[in-house]
Parts: sequence; C-alpha cells; structure tokens
Amino acid sequence: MYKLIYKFGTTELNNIVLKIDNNLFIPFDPANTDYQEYLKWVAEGNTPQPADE
Amino acid sequence: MPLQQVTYNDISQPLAIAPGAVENYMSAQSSSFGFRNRLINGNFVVWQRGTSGSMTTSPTYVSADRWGVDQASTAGSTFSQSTTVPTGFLYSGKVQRNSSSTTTNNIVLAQALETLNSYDLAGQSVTVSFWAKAGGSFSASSNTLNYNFFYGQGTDQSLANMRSNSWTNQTNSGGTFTLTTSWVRYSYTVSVPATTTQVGLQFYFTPTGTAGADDSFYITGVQLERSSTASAFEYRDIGRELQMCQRYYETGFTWSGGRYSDGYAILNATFKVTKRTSASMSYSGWNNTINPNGSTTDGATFYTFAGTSTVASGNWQAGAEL
Repeated sequence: MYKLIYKFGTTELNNIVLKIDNNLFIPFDPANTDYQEYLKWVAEGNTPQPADE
Repeated sequence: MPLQQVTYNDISQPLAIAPGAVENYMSAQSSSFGFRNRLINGNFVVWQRGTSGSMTTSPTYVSADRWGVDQASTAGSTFSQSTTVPTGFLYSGKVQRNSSSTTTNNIVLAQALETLNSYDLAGQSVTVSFWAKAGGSFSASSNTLNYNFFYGQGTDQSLANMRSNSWTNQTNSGGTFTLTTSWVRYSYTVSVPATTTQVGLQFYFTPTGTAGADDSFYITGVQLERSSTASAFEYRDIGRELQMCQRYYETGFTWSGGRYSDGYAILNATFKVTKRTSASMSYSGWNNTINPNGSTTDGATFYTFAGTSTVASGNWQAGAEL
C-alpha cells in the first residue's frame, strides 16, 4: 500500500510516494526499482492513498 | 613473493607477453589483480542491514549487502552471518530454513549485476566459483544445491524481475552440485550470449519434510569472473568493498544545526557514496515525524519538528538496489 505526500508546508504533491508497510519514501525516478514496483502496482489497478491535509 | 629477473637485450624486437599470462601468474600466486570479481560482497564481509534477516516471499535485501533472498510462496527461513568458514575467510552466508518449519518452497540466494558491470561479458566465457557446505540437517534431496546464471537484454533490471524471469528476453543456464558437510570449492562456466546486457545468478535448495536444527547451506568466496577457469578468490580491502556496497545502500546519522522560528528544522543526508539512482529513503530514531523534501543520487533533504530544541537528530537509510 502506498500514500502520496505533499511538499512540506503546502498542498502541492511531491514527487515522492510513501510505501506504508516499511515507511519507505520513494522518489519518482524511473531507474529506481522501488518506483518501478510502485508503477507496476498502479498498473494493476491499484490507487495510492491521498496525501494528508 | 620472489621476483624473477628478466634479461632482455634485443631492443630491436618487441617483448611479447601472451594474453592472460600476467593474470594467470598472479592467480597462481593467490594474489589479487584488479577487480576480477564482478560480484560485490562475495565473501560476505559487509552487513549494513544487520547480521540476520527473515526472508519474505518477495526477493528482498535483508542482511548481507547486495545479496537478495526469498522463499517463494511461503516464508519460514533466515539469511544470517556465520563464522563457519573455510580457511582464509572470516564470514559465510547461512541460508537456512527455520527449525521446525514445514514449508518446502525453494529458498533462494541471488545477486543481480548492473548493466555497466555486465555488458562486456557478452559473448565471453564466465566462471562462477564458490565455497559451500551443507548444514548438519540439510534436507534437500540428495543434498542438492541448485544454481542458475541469468542473461538479460535490458538495462539495470531488478532482482525481483530476475527472480520472476521477467528481464527482457531473459534466459539462463543452470545445474546442480551435491553438497557435503565439509567445505568444498565448486565452480561452473557458462558462455554468455552475445546479445546480453545484464547478468545475475542465484543459488537455491528445495527443502523437504520438517526442518531440523541446521537445515541450511553455507556459502562464501563467491566469484564471477570473465574467464573459462576459476582463479583464486579476489580479496578486496574492506574500505573498497564497503564503498562498492554503498553504491546500492548506506546508512547515516544526521543532526540539525538550527531551526526555524516555528520549530521546524531542515536537514540534509549527505551520502558517502553516489547512488546508482535517486535513493529511496527511510528514517529511524527521530523524535518527530519526518517530512521528506526530495532525494538524489548524492543526498536527501527533509524536515522535522525540533520544537525548542536546538538539535534534532536521527538515522536514515538510503537504498538504490536493483
């Protein structure tokens, strides 16, 4: 399960997603294999949780 | 090492040294000669994540650097550091089905190489060598240790995709060895297809019945070299081996030098070694929530609430594994 996050102090989405089960902050870098795994998860029809207000 | 004097008086003729002669001489002397081993942490000397970790059903890096492990479909196994070693080594990796476990899915130890460390192996003979032994209650039928050498045509594809045979045009060579409860050095040689851009390897066993106290195999001195024969294991100094591991994962400690008037501090995690990609970050030991700002191949920045304290401090872990 993943969660989007805002840039600190704003409501603008950051280019980072949080993998909740291991508290891993994953950058949106196509070469990052954690990000590749996230994209695969989304492609399978899953949706990340929205960012906290 | 004694030196032999070579006298060569005819300067009108070039002195010819047969290809590989120097490497073979150094190998015969059990001396290192320049990064022959493409595997990182082949002698299990770097354990940044800890000296023991539980396997999951997905290939995961849980203990020794650069080595991923998994037990497909079910989990009940551990990858840990052992001081049971052959002569000349300090540590081995112990790949164990937990005592009393009845899971019988393959238990796998694997390493994938980057394309930049693989591409010149295309069309070449490659030899993998390693020391291994069976634990006292190794349950694999006929004491069989299986191996595979993987070839792919993509760029920097993940260990997980290698394990699921989903690298671009992935193929492999494989075979078995019969382990004993004594240390033996084994080797195999493969011909890497000319179209290969990335390689990796795995070892695994298929447990049977209920696990005894030491249903495991031990392994160390794993070497992958561009050669048709196995040379002596290449020992690299620990500083260099650690740096090579830190291209993929490192840990650090950071503290703030100040804070804003609202009590928040912005902090930097400056990596000791440039990462393979922008790093995935995790944080531990902080008093308050971490708000990440971003990460690159060289570092990360983040905010945390320092309150009235002048210093906020804690640990971070940066990963850029395959």
